[in-house]
Amino acid sequence: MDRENFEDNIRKKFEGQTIKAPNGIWSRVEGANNADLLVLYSKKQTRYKWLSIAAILIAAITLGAQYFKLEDSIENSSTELTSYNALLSGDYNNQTIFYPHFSTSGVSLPEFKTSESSDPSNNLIAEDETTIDQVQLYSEDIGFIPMYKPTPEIATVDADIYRYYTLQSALETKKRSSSSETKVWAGLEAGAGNFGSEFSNSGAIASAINPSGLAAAVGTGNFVNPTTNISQEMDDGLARTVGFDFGVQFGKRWTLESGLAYTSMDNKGSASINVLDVYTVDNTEFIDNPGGLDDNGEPTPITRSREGLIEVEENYDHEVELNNNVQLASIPVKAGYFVVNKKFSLRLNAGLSANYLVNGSISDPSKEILNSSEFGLYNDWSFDGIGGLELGYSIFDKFNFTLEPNYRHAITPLSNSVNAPSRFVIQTGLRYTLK
Amino acid sequence: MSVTEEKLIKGCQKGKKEYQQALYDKFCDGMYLVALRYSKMQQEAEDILQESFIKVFKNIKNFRKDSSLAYWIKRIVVNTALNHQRSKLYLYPMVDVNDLDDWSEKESVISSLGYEELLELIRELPTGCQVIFNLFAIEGFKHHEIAEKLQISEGTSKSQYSRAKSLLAEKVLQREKIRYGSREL
Repeated sequence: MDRENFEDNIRKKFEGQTIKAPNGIWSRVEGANNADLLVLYSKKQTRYKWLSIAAILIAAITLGAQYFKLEDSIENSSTELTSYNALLSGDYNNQTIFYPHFSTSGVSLPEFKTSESSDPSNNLIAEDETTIDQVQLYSEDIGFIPMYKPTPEIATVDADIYRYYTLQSALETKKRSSSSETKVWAGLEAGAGNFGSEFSNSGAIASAINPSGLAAAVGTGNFVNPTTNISQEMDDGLARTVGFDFGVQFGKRWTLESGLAYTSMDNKGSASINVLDVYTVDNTEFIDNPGGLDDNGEPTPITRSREGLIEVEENYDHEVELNNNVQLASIPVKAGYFVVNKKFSLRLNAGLSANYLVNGSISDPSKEILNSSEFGLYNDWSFDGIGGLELGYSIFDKFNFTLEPNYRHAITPLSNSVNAPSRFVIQTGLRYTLK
Repeated sequence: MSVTEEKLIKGCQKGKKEYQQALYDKFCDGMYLVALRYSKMQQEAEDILQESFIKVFKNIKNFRKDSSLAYWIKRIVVNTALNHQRSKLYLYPMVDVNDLDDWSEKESVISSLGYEELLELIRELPTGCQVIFNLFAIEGFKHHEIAEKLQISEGTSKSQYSRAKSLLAEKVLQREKIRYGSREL
């Protein structure tokens, strides 16, 4: 056969021929592509994610400023100044005003339902349900009708003995409609808790690394035809969170709250790697076959032979420690209901949290199998449902100290391939009431 | 999914998954055969195929239409396979005692095989011979091109190729002997 034609002939034999590729390779290709794309996307979007967070903050601040402006206008427009001359009953010793009965100035005086406080600015509710926030006695010039002035002994002995006094005073009332009863606060929060390991526990490394490359890293680097199995075992981890929040209270019970929180989640574990290396070698060594004697008793010559391909099978087991770290920037939105709202408060909270992946990495401290920690294993965005019970204690009038055990359960998975984590976190916070 | 090659390329360049899968489905079987030719074990061929298609999708934005898509993908598969085999290549010039033999008889023996049987025998060759036989006889590279690609001398490429053909012919004859007993062919 012509030498030129030999190669052509061989080439033609293979032209257009196919052998069915095994199932499962496409899913491996697709998985690797997704991981690559996510890493690429993550890198490209790094600058945009901080811009997004900044934009959200600016929007929140702008809306907050607009809200406060609106609040001021409501308050100013409803301020009234009223002067009363009233004849009041009261306790002489404590100078507690109980009931204003009639106006001496001819101006109709609201009928107050209760006024059992020593401070007339508290708990004065008129019949028309208008809340009077502030009542200020303009004049200290209270004129008692001398003939009715009780002696201290009588007032102390019998609290039911009251006298009527004329009160020359001016009361300034600040009225606000019920719609302006909103309270606004801002605060700082920090917390810690644990999270389930399931999302980082299902062979994320195995899906992220080329088996041949891993095999080469594990052993001597001289594997011929390695098949690699990796099992990954991760422990539960610690979640830490810090952030700020702002909230609005509508009426006496309902609240709406949002903010920005940074969460870091760390857990440790290990990867068990088994490499099975099966390959064939050409045996180039000749084997001497010792000679013997033939039928005539003559010695036969020593012959040499060699085997062809020899199959070799080698097994390598290896275990490495793993560290997993996920950092999230979260924007929670929570609705709350005050079960108790006094100096001590008890509030039920429920809501959603949008989480943006700031960093997600799996690494081995020994750097035996992972040189790079960026595998794009985690989704850029994930969403949690939040439920919590907040205990509050009011201090210095405007400040509120809070303690909130809460549970977060993922609505969408945090990891590309596996389950979503659930978290139990105890948060503490300090809030300042702005309005 | 049935689309023209041009649409397939554009879809993949935009990173659309359905087009990527269609491209994979179209070429995977042909490229698996190429990967098998350069490997000894099935797992190795699968790794080559996987890595190759990852490279295809990563680089398809750079694909120019000065060659066919099939040829471009095949080149990636061959290069990936060579990278896989590089650590196992210990190429040195070989003096084949049969160099002076009549080649036409050996070539006729090899040429009588079907592609499946030939594939089986190529995979049994020592790695160096296997790679060079594939590159020269099937991919159509010249010896000086192979020498450049593998950083060896042209003479080494030629002698490894001769050795590959000799071994193939021997293997065919051994098989025939097993098949037909000791009867002379």
